[in-house]
Amino acid sequence: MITSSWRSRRPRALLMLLALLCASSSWAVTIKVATVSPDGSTWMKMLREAGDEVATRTDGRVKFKFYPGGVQGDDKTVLRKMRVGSLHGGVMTVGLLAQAYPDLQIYGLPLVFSSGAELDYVRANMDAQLMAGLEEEGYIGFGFAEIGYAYVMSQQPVDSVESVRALKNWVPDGDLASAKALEAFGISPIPLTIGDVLAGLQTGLIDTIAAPPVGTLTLQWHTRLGHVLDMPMLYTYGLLVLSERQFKKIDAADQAIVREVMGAATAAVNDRSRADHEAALEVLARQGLTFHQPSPAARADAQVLADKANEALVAEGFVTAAGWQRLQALRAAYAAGGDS
Amino acid sequence: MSVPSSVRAGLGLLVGLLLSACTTVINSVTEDLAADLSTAILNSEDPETVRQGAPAYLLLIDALLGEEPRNENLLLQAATLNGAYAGAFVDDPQRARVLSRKAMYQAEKAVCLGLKRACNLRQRPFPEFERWLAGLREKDVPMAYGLGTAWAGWLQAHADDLGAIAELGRVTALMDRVTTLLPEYDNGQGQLYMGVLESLKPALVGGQPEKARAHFERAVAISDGRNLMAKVFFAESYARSVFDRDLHDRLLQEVIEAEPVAPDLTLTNTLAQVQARALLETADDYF
Repeated sequence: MITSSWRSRRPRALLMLLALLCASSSWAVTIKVATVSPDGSTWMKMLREAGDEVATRTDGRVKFKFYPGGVQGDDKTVLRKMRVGSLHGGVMTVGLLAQAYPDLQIYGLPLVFSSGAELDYVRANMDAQLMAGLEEEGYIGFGFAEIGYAYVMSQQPVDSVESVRALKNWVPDGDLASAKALEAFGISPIPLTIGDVLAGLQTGLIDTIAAPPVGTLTLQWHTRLGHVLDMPMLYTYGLLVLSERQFKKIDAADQAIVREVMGAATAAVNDRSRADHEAALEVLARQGLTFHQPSPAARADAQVLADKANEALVAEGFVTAAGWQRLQALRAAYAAGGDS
Repeated sequence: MSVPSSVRAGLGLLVGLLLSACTTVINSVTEDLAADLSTAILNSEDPETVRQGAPAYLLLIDALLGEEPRNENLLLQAATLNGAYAGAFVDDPQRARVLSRKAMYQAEKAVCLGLKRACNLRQRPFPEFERWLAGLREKDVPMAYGLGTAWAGWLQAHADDLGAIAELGRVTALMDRVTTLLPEYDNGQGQLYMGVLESLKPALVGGQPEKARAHFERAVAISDGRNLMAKVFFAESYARSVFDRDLHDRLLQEVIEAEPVAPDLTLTNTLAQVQARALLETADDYF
């Protein structure tokens, strides 16, 4: 009865083989990531390189697929697609993600930091906490990449909040925190999508924006502007996030590789962006924009308004009180020259 | 937001667009011989011969310029030749930057000498630059187009420099004006430049991909489909940016199956077929 016993075993062997095949195919996880950044941007270049490195180091068990240039829609659409599982990640600014985890936008409140060194100190001591908080909401992040400080830029000379108030200010459509902050400054902004800003400046619908210099140059907004209020108003930054659901399909060792590689890529974008930001300020001046220094009184006035705005933002839950206190404690520790 | 350095994307596509401009350069340098040479270059089926041979003409034109440093036509031709060579054949980024800078300097000088109120165009405020553009007429197109191609080549070689990216709006406005005045000038190559330039910005941040598509379609139509490079740029610049794989593969397949030999287009068509194969090979990774 050897034959029959072999026969009875053969299907079992096949089943085992099939099970093995299925198991190995489940190891090959593809992570689909979308962004508005066009192909060839710093983000996309770094991400493609990082994706290749992950694929090599995991022997093809983890693969990244990228959708640049907004082909999968704006940040809102990308987040929705991540929720239903048709996408697994995105590169975006913190704005919409902050709806899931408010403290993500804590560095971006107006006039929070008094110097770049202070900002770096706070970030070095707080980024990890924010990433952990984000992870509790089902998103895996790998650190932040700064875009740079936003400056007020206008077709009219601007040297104080007072002078900005009378102008036609833009606010990104749907950006509640910025709208709220501008309101506290006594500014009634006009909401427009990023895609409509250049036309808005051309037609006179708006004449003043607050934006990072790199973005202003890249999108050619500077061609319709003449003046800069020489005061970094708020810090802007973005990040790569993956949905936890997809990330968990990867085994632990490969997760560690993804974290390491994507963390390094994000840090590289961050460093590059800082250099770009400094260069962009110089280019704006070379392009003929006039930088206006606010007087000490105008600066103090802006700080008072910003503090009031931030107080209101904390009270209304745009960021948590605990997060805000932590940030202030770190600023105090930095001022004292000590550890947090 | 995607803004940092976003427009760096796709500028590489301008490579090779300048090639056809070689004709004008050599034509007017030494007339009959030059005309024969340019025809030989453009009808060459071996890009490598052109790559190796062209530097001799860069030196020749430098020598001629030494004699006539304020001859605007010669300056424009020198700019075109330097720019074309840098864009199509120089792989070393540093050399490409040097040559494209030289081309830009020559083109600026040519335009300053050859057109009214055309000095320091890059330094003047943008609205003033636009007013100057509005004053251009059909007769100004050769000079303005020459500046545009040198400028685009310079931008491509400096795509990592925000100072260059800041001038993208000026190049686009200039090429837009040129293609409005004479849509079919230089066998419609201006349409190709516009197609690439309009593809750089995603729709979500204010780009107009459909405008890019219209320029590419016009470029293909003007050459009656014989300019294969037009289809390559259409695929690489437009179809990839809007993730239209069907269009991408169809255009490139047409390029590969086409007969590359065509009057004054053989060299670019031969290069286009090489590029089309490379793009098809990487399509699975991209889409």
